[in-house]
Amino acid sequence: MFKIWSPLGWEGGSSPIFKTTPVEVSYNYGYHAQRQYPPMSLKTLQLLIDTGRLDTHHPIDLATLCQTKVYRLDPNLRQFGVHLTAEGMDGFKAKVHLEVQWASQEAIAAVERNGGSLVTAYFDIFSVKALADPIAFFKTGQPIPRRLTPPADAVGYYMNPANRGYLADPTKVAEERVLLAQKFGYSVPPLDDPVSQEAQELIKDPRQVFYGLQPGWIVSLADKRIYKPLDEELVKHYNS
Amino acid sequence: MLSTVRIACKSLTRTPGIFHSLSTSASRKMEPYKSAIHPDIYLYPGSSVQDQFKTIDPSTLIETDAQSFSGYIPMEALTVRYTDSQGRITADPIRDSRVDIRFHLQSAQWLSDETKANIQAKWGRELTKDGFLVVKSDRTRSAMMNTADGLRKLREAIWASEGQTPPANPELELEIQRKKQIALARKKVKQPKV
Repeated sequence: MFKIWSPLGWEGGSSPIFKTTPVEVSYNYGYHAQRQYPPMSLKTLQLLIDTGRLDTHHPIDLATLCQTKVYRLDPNLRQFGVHLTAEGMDGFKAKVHLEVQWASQEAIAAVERNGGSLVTAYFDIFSVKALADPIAFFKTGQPIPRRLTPPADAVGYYMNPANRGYLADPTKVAEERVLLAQKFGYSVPPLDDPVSQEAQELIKDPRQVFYGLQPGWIVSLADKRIYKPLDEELVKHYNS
Repeated sequence: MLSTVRIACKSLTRTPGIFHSLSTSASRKMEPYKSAIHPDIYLYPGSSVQDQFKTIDPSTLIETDAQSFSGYIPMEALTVRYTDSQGRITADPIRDSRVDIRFHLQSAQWLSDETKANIQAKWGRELTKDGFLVVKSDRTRSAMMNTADGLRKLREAIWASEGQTPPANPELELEIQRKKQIALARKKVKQPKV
């Protein structure tokens, strides 16, 4: 399980030096607001696919990765999603359509050169809690949350086409795919097969948490039904 | 009033058989959800989110100056070989990290005649007997990164033949400066390197 980063200057429990000396005032300012993205390598991803824990015929998002129980996320430790790292990029052969929260440039290239696609998307902590264990979330009977927009320090990342941000200009993202292919020396494969078409149609709205489900819906696993809000104000809220 | 809809949770793939069979009914295809802040509505009206997956013709990204080298290299025109550091082809992508990129200069369709003449003038002596321009890289342990390094070398060689200096990389220069400062400070304090 991926541990949490300790505060800077942590001395195992005894009063840290920055607390005993009166000079350093805001040493760990904002520590409790810092977001963490536990990493997952392409090597692990390839292993999960090869051993049948992940199905590449459908797009893969954070919920799918957490359901494998190999990658674990603890939203209570301010872990906001998955950071796809490039370790194992040379042996990465799978064609996947991924939605992650952070991705390095080499990881994006490794995914795209095999004919896959990648989108980086922000989920606020309540959405992450729902995604980390969807079945447990549905059992609480809460309506699916309306996903929030990224905070100020993350907006730039998710609007950058080079990061394949979900808020970036789509035409610029298409250009960046060509540029990245030119950098790493491959031709951009066309995404016209049925699996890719399905992944493209299922691209999530900025307010959407789960594929195929809308914010405000209550999914009842016991009744095998979905309950949708009918009140005007609620409908307006969940569509805003 | 309650509405009854089939569950279409494609995220719940722990038991793919159960949920997948419920979700693939063509008759009940759901309309995609679009909130008020969907990029097609709020950020980039007039374009679609699906446009990011469209294949772009690279020639549309190149400036129309046909004489100088734009930087675009069609990968089909190059012969790229991956070997291990001894030059053997093991067919294991992790072991074969050394990259050899070559192409026949005079028969290259993707370079203008002026560029070819420049390259011949500057790098003529470096060509192989058969007239191939060869670039190799074994800088890192990753074939992908070495390919990027090889292409960088190739582009810089072509631009150098046209008289252009490689673009400045301020981040790299800052990093080199920072390391030099640390080394200098270490010398002054005479602490052993940890």
